[in-house]
Amino acid sequence: MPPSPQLRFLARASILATAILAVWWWLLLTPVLAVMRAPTEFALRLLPGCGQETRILTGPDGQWSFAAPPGAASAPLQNAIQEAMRGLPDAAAKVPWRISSKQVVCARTSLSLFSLSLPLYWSILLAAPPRKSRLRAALGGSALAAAIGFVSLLLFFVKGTNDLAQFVPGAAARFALDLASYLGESLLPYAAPLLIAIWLNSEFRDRILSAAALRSSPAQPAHQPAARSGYGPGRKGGRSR
Amino acid sequence: MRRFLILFPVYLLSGFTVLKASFAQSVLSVMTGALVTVCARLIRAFGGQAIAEGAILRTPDNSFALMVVAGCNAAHVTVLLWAAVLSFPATWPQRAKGLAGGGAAIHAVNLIRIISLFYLGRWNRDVFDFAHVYLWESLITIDALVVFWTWVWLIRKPGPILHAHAA
Repeated sequence: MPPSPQLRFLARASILATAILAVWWWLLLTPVLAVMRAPTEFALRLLPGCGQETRILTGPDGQWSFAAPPGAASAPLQNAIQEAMRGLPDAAAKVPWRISSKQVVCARTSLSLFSLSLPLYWSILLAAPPRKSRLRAALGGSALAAAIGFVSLLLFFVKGTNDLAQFVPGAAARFALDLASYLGESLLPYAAPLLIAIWLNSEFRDRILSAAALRSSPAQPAHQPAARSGYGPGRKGGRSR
Repeated sequence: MRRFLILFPVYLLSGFTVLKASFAQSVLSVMTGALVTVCARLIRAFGGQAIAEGAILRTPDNSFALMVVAGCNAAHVTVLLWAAVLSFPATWPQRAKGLAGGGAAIHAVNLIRIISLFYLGRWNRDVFDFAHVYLWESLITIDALVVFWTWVWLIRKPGPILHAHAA
């Protein structure tokens, strides 16, 4: 009995993902992050309170950090420091203290996570059934996957900055930002490449979903075998791999 | 298809909103503890040595310890799969089978993932980071797609009556 198309795809995608992700992790990740740094800095400068001097610093462990404006959230800490300094006998007690910035830090593992979409998309694209214009799917999908990774990274920093500066007004908007940042970290890097591949590769989409398009109601009479299509033993004219 | 495209993001966002809620976090922490306990028992059943302490899986001599946190318990991928199953046109019994069977399949793979990470972490930290952040998360997401595809294939498979009619 030959393996099902699902198992064949699973085997192909797993092998390709292992190979491509390994090359990405050990060879390409550092240069890719170097390329992503300038546009990320540019975008962060657009945040409220962040000026043109905003820079991303790379730490010894490869983490990124940037000085976010302290905002109202820092006021209690600033007051506490001032109160504690007041008890000191020397001149330091008389100096007014002000928190000028706080560091928002993105660990190297999180940074690498935000760059995952691109190699994962290529793995799925190569493992999925062939289509006529794979180049178009490769270019368009790569651009989308890269954009989603970049947006997820920005959401991480925007959320971190907002936690300090609280520039997003209203509970609903803050919740939406929290949820978007959460999705950007925990779902989008992994799920977006799959969804993009399904969207751009019509043959792959048909194999998975065509039955849904042709048969909108689940209650299909048993005497309509022609309504079943897309894959499986009853398919005519389909490509078999 | 249009129905699927509308419902899928709705279910997905709803699922992740629930995951962020505090009551879900307490349920997930219990589930994570159970997951770590099962991993430790499986390792010991196959001759290895591991101790479960809450969400921590460690070696008896404390030379390596691994903490299973949110995101490592396959909850995110399960929500992704469940959103796809719920959005797809099917009867409710079919969906129930997809939710239960699909969830079980994902968690079975996740057990293998955590156990393999436990051994990889003891061996090499760099390989562990790669497998943890990149490889296993990607593989388990691909697995979720294959589980969904298989479920769709099963519910579209003609039954015995259809076969008899075609014959």
